[in-house]
Amino acid sequence: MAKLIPDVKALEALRKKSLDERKGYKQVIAVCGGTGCHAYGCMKVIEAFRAELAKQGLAKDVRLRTTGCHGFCEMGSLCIIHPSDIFYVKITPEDVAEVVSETVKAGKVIDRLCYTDPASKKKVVKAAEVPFYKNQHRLLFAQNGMVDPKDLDDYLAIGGFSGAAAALCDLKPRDIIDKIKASGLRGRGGGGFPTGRKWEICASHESDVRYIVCNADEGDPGAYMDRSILEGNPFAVIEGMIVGAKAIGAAHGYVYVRNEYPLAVENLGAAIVKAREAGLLGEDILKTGFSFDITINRGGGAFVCGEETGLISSVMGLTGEPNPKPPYPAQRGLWGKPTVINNVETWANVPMILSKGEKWFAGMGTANSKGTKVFSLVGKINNTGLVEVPMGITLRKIVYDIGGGIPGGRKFKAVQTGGPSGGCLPESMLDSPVDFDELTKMGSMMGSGGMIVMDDRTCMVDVAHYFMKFLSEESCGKCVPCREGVPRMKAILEDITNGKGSDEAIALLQELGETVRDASLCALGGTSPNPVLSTLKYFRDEYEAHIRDKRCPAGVCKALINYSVIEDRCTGCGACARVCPTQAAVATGRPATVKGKKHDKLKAHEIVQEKCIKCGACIEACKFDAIKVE
Amino acid sequence: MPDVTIKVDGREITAKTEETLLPALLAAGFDIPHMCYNEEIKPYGACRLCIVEVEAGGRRSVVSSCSYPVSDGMVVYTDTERIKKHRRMIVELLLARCPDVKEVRDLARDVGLEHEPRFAKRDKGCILCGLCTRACEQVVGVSAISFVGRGPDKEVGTPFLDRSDVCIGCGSCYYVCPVNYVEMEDEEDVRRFPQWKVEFEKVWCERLGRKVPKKMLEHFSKIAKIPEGWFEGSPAGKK
Repeated sequence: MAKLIPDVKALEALRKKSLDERKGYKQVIAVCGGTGCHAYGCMKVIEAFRAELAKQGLAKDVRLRTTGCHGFCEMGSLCIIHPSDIFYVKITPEDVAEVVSETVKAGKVIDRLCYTDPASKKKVVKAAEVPFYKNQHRLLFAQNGMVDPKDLDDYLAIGGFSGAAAALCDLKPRDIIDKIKASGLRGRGGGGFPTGRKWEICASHESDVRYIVCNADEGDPGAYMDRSILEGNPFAVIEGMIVGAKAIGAAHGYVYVRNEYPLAVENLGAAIVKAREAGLLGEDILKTGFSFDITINRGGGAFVCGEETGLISSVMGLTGEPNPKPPYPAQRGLWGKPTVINNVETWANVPMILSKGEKWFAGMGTANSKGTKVFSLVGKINNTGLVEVPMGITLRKIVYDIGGGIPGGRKFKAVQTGGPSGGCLPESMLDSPVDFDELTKMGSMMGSGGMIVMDDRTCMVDVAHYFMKFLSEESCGKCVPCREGVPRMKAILEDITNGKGSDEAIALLQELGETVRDASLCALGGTSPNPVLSTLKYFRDEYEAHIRDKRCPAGVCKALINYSVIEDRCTGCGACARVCPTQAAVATGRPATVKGKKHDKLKAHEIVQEKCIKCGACIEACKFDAIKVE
Repeated sequence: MPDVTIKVDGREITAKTEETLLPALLAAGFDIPHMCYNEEIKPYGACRLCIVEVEAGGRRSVVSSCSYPVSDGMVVYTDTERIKKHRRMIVELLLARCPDVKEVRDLARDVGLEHEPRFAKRDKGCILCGLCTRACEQVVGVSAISFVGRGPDKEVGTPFLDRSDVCIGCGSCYYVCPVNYVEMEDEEDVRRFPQWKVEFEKVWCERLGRKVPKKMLEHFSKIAKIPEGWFEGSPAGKK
């Protein structure tokens, strides 16, 4: 049970005590306990560390800290040893004893566990030197690595709740709003609406009751930055909400979080309980006369509930369907009362703005997009993970310097930003700065920060089809353009990928896409044609190849491709025949070619087209590049 | 409530502040198609036929006029090329969904859609405007029917698509449906709703001068706190 913190003086005293306690440790082993690393078995690594530290008598000198996500999910399980900053990747419980005796005790670096930079092939010892980290600007994620999400003292030790203390003791609601406005913070959930302005509208709306909501209904496939913040640093979100509540005069807040995020629900729940026990939530917080509490509302996983009016309906127990705006939630939201809805990342930025100052925040980024943005960098990229970068960084820097480029040395083709309803941007856009307005200009969007990288083996028509399929399944079905239009786009794209696209298909897609974009009820519908319109704009030649030449240039669309064996490369090893699920790959009577010579006993193989299901297993299995796709 | 003045297609009209755009436009004689709007029911903004362009801050945005609040001095365009184009596409989508529904075909003619839909035809009768479900919830107060499913598979139905226990047989869903999708079989002594799997015994109503479902009289007596038997001709009633 956390001890009650009666007032600000006590808060500062506890902060000092926590800091002193932490200084008492000579070293800290920070092991990532995020969801990605959980999948790699990090909990066993942590248990092994705990046991080993005890065994070697180091428990008092070395602190073991289970943290939230560090972002470099490709490399889990991972740990950083402070203060030496030695960074180990892909560690298993079997490595732990060696790490403790060699590195922690003797200060030696274990080469085998260090990260290898795929570009230079060199080992990197310190976390700060790893290109993936070095090229980022980590504010939110730096905190993730420094705190145990369930440890309030950890959060206090990094300056936690000083922003809330300032907001509650020293600032008037108007001052807080002015600070947030001056910081230039814009909503990280997708819309990019100026946060301070939203609070101002809500506060100025006459009402007896107002509400605060944290939108943690992150539904984009492959995106998990909000999840990682909520899992890794829930106190920051709570603190941001306290500040917002004071600014608009709310006594109650809701966190709407997907039920598919069990660790986020658990860590946030634990943090709320701790904050409540410490008197940082509830009645008369820090004896300032201000009362505020938070309820967790678990969502059922409908994509549309991430749309703010859909979310409001869902919190109130209604069907999760959006409502027309205006009125905006800031005017009429939960139970008809003015409601501020911001997403997790936005809330997590608020305490920093209060404690470090709005000028500091406004000093980062571009003219109209300030601060940093967390992206979930996935797809055909070497360094999969969560990256935090200053607004205005180029896509090229994200993809190449941080992401480490495309695996297998393949060619970059496109990057989709903004989640399933974002646009696909081609190589020619790689040097464009990433901010709210620039991405929109290019026909994509910031969205919540999904970033999917695609290589030259990606068919853009197939990609557009994939996202239309996702969006038609996730459409709530309320308004005609989205409900009727998105499945029609999907059907047209399906025809094209099957080689049945008509000559009018491109024009019809364009026309339909524009109507769905302009006339849909909510932003989900309004942005849904982005994958289609952006690929039509930047990759029209691929559409034309499918329709006119019945050809899929990337070799993806099954109806338009054939697998065949390049006979003078085939060594007759039979790897293809062994993996082929339909026995389409078979030996011929002809001799194979081994090291440039015909071989009498080994037979060249061929693929029987009638049996081939174009699964691609043979091409994966062939070590001699003897199978081609046309 | 004071009136506000709004400029529509260059013409000034007045509207009530608590109103949304569509009723003001209709009252002023503008011909705005709409299918999910009914003045007795809260605006829903789903059919998107009543879209207009609203100018604000030098930008024009497409909004559904049924749900958009009026404000003094606002500038509205109802008949731009952009609006007409989007309306035709919306109707084309509806027509592909419901190719055999007369009301949708009439609408296609009205908005100038001159060709058959360019999308594969389905054979739905319901346009999912939600008027029936909202009338049942907001006006009648029973929610006997609601939307079932989501997205392209959405439909109107009773709970678990089974016989509705709370339906009172009032027929609001039937009367309010803009495309005559809801079926009601009204015979001398019985009223049936085959889609909701319910039928109702009818009794004589002195006030209406005709036979109506008994359950409906009971429901309205209860919510309006009217003495039992009043409809039937008090006090004993004509059973």
